[in-house]
Amino acid sequence: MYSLSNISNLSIALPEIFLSLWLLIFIPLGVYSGGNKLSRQSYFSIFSIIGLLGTLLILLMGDNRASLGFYDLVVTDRLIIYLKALILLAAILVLIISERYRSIENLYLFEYPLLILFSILGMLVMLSANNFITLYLGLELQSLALYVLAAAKKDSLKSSEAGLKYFILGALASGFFLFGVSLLFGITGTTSFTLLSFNYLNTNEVSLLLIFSVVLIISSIAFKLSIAPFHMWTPDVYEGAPTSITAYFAIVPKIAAIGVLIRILYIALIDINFIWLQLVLVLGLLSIFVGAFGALLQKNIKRLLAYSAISNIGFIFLALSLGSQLGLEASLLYITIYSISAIGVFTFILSMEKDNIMLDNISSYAGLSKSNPFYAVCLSILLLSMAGLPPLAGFIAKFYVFKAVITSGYLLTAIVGIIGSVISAYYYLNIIKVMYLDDGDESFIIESRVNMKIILFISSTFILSFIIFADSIINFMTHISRAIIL
Amino acid sequence: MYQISLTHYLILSSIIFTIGIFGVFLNRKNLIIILMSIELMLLAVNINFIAFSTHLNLILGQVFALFVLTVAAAEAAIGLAILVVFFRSRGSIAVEDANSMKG
Repeated sequence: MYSLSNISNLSIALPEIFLSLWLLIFIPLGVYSGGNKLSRQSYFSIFSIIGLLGTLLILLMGDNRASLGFYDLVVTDRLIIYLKALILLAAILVLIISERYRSIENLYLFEYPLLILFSILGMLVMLSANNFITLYLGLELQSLALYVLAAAKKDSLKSSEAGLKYFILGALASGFFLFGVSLLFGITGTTSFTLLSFNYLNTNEVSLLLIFSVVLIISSIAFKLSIAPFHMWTPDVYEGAPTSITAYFAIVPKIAAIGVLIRILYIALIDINFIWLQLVLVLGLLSIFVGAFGALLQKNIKRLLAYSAISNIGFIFLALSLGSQLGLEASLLYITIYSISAIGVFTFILSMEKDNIMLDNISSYAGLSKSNPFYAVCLSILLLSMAGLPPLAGFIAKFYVFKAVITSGYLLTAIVGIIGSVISAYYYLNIIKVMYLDDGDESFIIESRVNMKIILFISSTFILSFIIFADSIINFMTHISRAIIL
Repeated sequence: MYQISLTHYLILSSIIFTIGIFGVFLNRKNLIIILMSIELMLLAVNINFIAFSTHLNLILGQVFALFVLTVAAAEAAIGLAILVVFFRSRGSIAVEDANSMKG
């Protein structure tokens, strides 16, 4: 499947190398060119966006054949390149939509785009990893940058508390991850994914220690993905962190962590899948329900979206728990559609500002259908899609997950999952009800930037018209998921 | 003669790791104790890696332990920085004072 080569194959790590060099230029540039002067800030954002675009270009120009390099520490294939491209695109869009918010909330620091770039570098390394050492270093580079970003608003109590909570639980998760990896290393004598998957594990003899290590590794990734019962930090961090950072948290690290989970489960631990299949299934179902019930009584849109993310990632876990090609395909389709609709929803939230104060409460959206019909229609489309209303994109994503579940013979699981999905439809519809039926301030006009309007329009149009080109996108997902042959 | 075997090292590291977990969850007093507990967990992992490394006669475990040490230092630095920011806005580093968000 992979062409095994021990020579340093520099070209497969070219995007990461480019981004690291870009960061090395960025740091002195930020420090010596009047780092935190207000007038310079948009230059730094543009500089970081150009860096990400360059990385994306190098990534897409490169060879997309599966190959290993750097003594098998680094790997690339179609799936990895696709997820990396998704991460870079999502990060660029999040940087564009957070510009206005940063000027309102006085978050104009050059460290802000710098740390985002550092976390992107960590995610790219994480996805390239073919060894637990590489994976750990990427994971930590990503997490350390994200902890600081959550606490970026230094004068706000909520932001620093969010950073603190995220740091403590994230570090705990890294500890779990390392303990699991150390046990796996002790059992098998290797930390390489490919060596583990070449039947290095003696599957006839499953010791308690092996089960313990697999459970620890999966629960640490579940921590990072905010899967129930490891979700406690999510609502607090989403609420406390600056909204533009929340948008980043909700989309970009999720894609990377899903990619890592796919690589761990489907490459490294595939031979012992009977250990993790049930575990991942239960975690997925649990988080669908925790997400559905937790969001019911939320008044704050950021907390609500935290629970919505928990339930959405639960569906991806459900698809991945099948250990089948169809499940892998469904999870890739789901994460793609989830990121696109989440970008739309957060563009909306970041535009909601009145007299330089961000409106976080759902009740403040009352009467939006009369005062700002464009925004109300776009948000309604995105929310209806997340609720799973046919024929929008979210419905097709959920349909594919349940199709994969039923094909694998878990009919009861599919029914329970659909019930969870129906419950979560309530709070999405509630927001639409507030916008269309409740009375509010009719003179309130959202003053947003044109680029934000365009992003909101494109994402909701994509969600609305997805059914037209669903076929070709699903074929593309099948092609991508064939990078891992089960 | 009585020798220290791999099992002893594993038991030691498991005990230290468990103390670390309990330190994070049961401690209600001071946030610095949580940082120390996290450090304790990472050090327990290092004991594991090095014990396995000598037992299996593979250098890989020691390499991993070095990486873990480095990252743990970076993590402690960032944790303390966030703690200072929190202290500035809250005026306290008690665990029960980190409660401005609930629900």
